[in-house]
Amino acid sequence: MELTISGAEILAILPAAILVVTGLVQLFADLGRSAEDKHSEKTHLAMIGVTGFLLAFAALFVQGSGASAGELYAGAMTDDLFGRMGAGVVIMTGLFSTLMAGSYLASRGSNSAEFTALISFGAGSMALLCQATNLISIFVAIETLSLAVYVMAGYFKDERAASEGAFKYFVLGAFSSGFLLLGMAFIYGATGGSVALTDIAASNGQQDTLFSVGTLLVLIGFAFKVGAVPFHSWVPDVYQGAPVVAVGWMAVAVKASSLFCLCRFLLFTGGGNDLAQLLAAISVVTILLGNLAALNQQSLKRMMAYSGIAHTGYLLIPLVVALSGDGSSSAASIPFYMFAYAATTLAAFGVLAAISVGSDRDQVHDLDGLAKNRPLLALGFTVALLSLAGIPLTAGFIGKLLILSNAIQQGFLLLALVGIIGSLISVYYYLRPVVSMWFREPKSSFELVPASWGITFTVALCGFATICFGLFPDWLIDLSKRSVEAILG
Amino acid sequence: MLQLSAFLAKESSWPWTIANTVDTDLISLLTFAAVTVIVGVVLLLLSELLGPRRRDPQKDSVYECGVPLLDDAREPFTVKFYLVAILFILFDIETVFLLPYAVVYKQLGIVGLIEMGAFLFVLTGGLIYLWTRGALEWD
Repeated sequence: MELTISGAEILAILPAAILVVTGLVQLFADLGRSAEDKHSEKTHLAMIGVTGFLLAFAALFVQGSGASAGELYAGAMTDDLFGRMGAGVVIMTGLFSTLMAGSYLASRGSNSAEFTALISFGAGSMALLCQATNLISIFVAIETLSLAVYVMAGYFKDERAASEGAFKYFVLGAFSSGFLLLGMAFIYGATGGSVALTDIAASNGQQDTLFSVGTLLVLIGFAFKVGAVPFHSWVPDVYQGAPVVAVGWMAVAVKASSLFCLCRFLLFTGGGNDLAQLLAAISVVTILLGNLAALNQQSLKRMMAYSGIAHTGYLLIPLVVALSGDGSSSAASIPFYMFAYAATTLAAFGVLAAISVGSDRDQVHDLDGLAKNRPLLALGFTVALLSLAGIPLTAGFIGKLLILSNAIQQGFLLLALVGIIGSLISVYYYLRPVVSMWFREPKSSFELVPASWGITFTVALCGFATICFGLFPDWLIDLSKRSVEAILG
Repeated sequence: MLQLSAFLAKESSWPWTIANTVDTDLISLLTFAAVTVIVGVVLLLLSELLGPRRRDPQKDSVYECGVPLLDDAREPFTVKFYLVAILFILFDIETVFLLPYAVVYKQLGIVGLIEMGAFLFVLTGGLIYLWTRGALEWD
């Protein structure tokens, strides 16, 4: 058996390969001196990272442009539009996280190349996860990205909160990987030994109870990664202990890549019996608990953690709709929502990084009077929070509109109602920081180190993108629709 | 036994259909598992309740192959061992990959060579990294 590799296969792996090489170059570029100058900003790391991410992003446009050569790597990968959109979200998120990392970590005296390299390595495996089409490549990609993220969660290893969060994340994450693997084994058994998603879809094992149990266990594994409700307990602790930049990266990229993969998995396999009801229940509980628990948080990081949980709940609604009956095109709102969520969340975490440069400020009252000192940061944060709350003219509004209108059209009135109630609750806690930024007097102790160019750039661009996606959503909605049509065939 | 499986088959809602769809042989397997557990527990309980118990300091001491104890075995040992263990696993995996490759390298051809090269490139990069960072120095 002669191993062969086609041009399309090389192109399919290219973004991930570029990102891995970027990570290695970042490690080596800093090798001689990382011990001494942990307080310097190390712009060269950001530059290497930006170059790598831009190259990888460009590679996404090259791949799949030729005639589709059928199966890539014997069905382990695909280069369809859906996977490339997922990889696009991840790569853009990685780019902005890398830009923000230098100055924030330098102010904490722990800037080393490992952090940016971990972002690059993680981005590579997340790009693979978005494009993975068999159980083995899905599992390998999930494990690789998890390892990178575990380390980043405990990056401030001398701090109690960081160690606690990272340890919880690691132990629970390893446990959930076990569920994922067992579920995959059940699916493998129920479908007569198929690993590729297309083979699973073609086999007649979907009615088997074993198959339902398998998809349920796989769902548990994914629910842990995206922080859906019975498996959400790690989220606030990890967010509180991890570096702000890492939290932004985790909140967007891990969630995006896992959801893209889960969406592909469920659309291909159909999910077995009764999974849609279960997913609907998870979605309802996730929306309600996320929003209710966020109400009373004083720490902005914990508030964003619970808000992230709630957004996971909204994102599960189109999956429920897609799984039951003929509404499968409603999954088209997932890529759009992920783009909107990425832009919004990165802008928000950019501001959080800016205010915690120098000292670790993450209480709501730390924002008092921010608008007087730094009107642009306050504006960026306000736009991001309004978008998260789903106020019109922002990307978040269009995303929620797509999800909820699809759910209503397909007859999921109660689910849509829960989503609307959740959004209503969320307005309260999203507006609290806005009030304290614009209508409170600044505290006397408020000294803000000027935000670095990387953070300013990220907040400005992501805030701008949030408004843009909100005002001109048509092209992105169209792209999302085409991407989902591509996997539905 | 038949009655039990008929009872289980009557339940139609989701998790309980396992007995229905998989096989009724499952019942005998479950019985076997139950008997195993019961026998084990009963034996343990009996020896706990009926066994004679004469303790003395010699009996309660830790068994170290007959050698007198020096001190407590539960003491913290340096984290360097942990690092060495991790590095060992890394190069263990390298061997695990390279040995099968050595068997089939002719069949895999030039693409296999390139793929192994990529793997070794990343691994060698890791070795250079940890060497330069001083992970191989004991002190």
